[in-house]
Amino acid sequence: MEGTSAVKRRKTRRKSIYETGFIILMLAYPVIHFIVFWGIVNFNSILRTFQRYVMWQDGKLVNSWVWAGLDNYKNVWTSFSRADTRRIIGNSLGYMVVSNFISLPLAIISSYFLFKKMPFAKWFRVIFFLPSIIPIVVLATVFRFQFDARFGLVNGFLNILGIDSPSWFGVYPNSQRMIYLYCIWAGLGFNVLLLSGAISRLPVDLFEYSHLEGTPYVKEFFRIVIPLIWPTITTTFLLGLTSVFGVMLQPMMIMPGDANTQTIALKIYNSVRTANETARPEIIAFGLLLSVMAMPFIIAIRFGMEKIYADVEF
Amino acid sequence: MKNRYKIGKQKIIRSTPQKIAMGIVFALFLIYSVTLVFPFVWMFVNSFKSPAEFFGGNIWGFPKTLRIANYSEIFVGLPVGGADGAVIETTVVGKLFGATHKYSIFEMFIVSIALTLACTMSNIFFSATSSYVVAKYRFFGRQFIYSLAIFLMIVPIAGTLPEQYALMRWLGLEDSFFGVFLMFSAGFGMNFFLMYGFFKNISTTYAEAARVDGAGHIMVFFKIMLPLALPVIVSLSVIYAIGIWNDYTTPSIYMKSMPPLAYGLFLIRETLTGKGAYTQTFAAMMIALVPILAVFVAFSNTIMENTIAGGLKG
Repeated sequence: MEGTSAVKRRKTRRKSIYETGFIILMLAYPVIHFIVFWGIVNFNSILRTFQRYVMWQDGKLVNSWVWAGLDNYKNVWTSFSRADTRRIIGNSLGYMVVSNFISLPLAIISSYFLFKKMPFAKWFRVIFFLPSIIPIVVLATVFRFQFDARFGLVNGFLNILGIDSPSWFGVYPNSQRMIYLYCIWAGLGFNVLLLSGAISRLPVDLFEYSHLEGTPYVKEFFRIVIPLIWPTITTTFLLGLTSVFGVMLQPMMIMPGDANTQTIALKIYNSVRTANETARPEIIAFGLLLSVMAMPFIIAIRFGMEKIYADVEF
Repeated sequence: MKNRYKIGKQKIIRSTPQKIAMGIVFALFLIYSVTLVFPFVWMFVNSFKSPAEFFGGNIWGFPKTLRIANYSEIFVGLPVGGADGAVIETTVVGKLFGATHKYSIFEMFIVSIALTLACTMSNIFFSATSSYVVAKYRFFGRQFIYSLAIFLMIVPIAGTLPEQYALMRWLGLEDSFFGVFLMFSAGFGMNFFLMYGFFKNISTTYAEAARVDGAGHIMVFFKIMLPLALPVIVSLSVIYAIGIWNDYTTPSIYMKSMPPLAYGLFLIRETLTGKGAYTQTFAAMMIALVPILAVFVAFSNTIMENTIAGGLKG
């Protein structure tokens, strides 16, 4: 008996070693990739914010990084009072407002009506989804051409009506408003699709009862649909919050090279494109400080939104 | 599908206010759809006009003569200014096709196809390996890996791009195909979660039967689990591939001298519109749309159903 159990133990140990080896093999590359491209990058980013780049010292070319304490953070903090920085942060916050308080409500209402057996609903869904798969360069170019002073469809239409076209992109804040309009135009469809998916997963009985009782659309919308798709709304809202730090392609494509319509992400991106070593620590500090400042808000909003309606699983 | 709101095939009876509401929303949807589709039709029609005809005032009508050269010139080759205004030297791909100092959309297509295939395959494969092990095996650190992956998804960290670029430069990959491929071959991202959900719920019966027959862990993963996950893998691959195909940001930083289509198209647009060659710009945009629309037509159900069911839930 002892012999048999020893063989069993050996077999189990061999199996365990083999299994461990398999797990290590399967996770090795993803974990190494994560350590290099996330761990090292984030560690270096934090470290760099406490350093400054020195090119010359005592008349000699040194090209080295030296300890700078909290100087970069102090400079960033001071820059918050400057008009250009405020404009960048304001522009970026604007995307959150547009995304969460204009685009999202429009998408919820649109999804509801698509769900309510609107004629050609399937076609609308396909058309609404198209901007999500078209390259942003194409989409932004199409959008700009619609408002072109000489060839634009919108200007042509306004001319027919005898209305003078404003300078859509010529002056700030008109240019910024046009980028927001582009975001709604191009982004609405994707949200509609996500939310109509959430609505279509709701139990059909609820709508059948509601239909039989002749419940008005408004009541059904606020009493049934909104509470039951609240988890999806919460997540879409939170994604809208993160757009503050993520939006950069839209202003870059519609107003290339325009400093007035810059965003937080675009400022960071441009710093990489210009490869300015001296400015690097401050740019990183700018991004990290804003991320840290935003984090409690994002967590609090998430927590608060989850408390509004009880979580449901459909 | 069974939860979908359907009252058989019977006619839906709506009250008068409901009919009015539905009519208004239908009209708005129609207008929005027209704004999404009509500019592309207009662009397509104008892409066949000569610059003289377009600037001569025929902006709204059909072309008097079809200028196919708009397409052929773009497709074969066109000198494209680099980000700093310099002419981009030809690349390895360019040399293969006998290019000298010009870039063509054809070359950009080749780069885009290679990049999309390589990045999609590696990302999906490593997401599958990591998610399978985390979902199906119990080991030390499993929960930590899962929690960390969630943390990465939720918390936006801005400002790390400069250090990522510095790392890539240190690795000698700041302007290379391989560098971008390496960056996208991560195993912990959205695909990790979607595959984790699949592997978590999949029955282990087949795997256990195979294990009894003497199959090892590797054999079970490649011969049983991956084939079972094939529908999910195909869906995720299509959606991920569209993302890579349309990605502008990464190649604009890390593939400046070998631009894929999404980035190259921006360079083409800036060059052509700078010269006033609008009709050629339209042709370039149309060429870029063809593959993405072809993929959408072929996989529209897969793409839309997965976007709807993508689980955007709090």
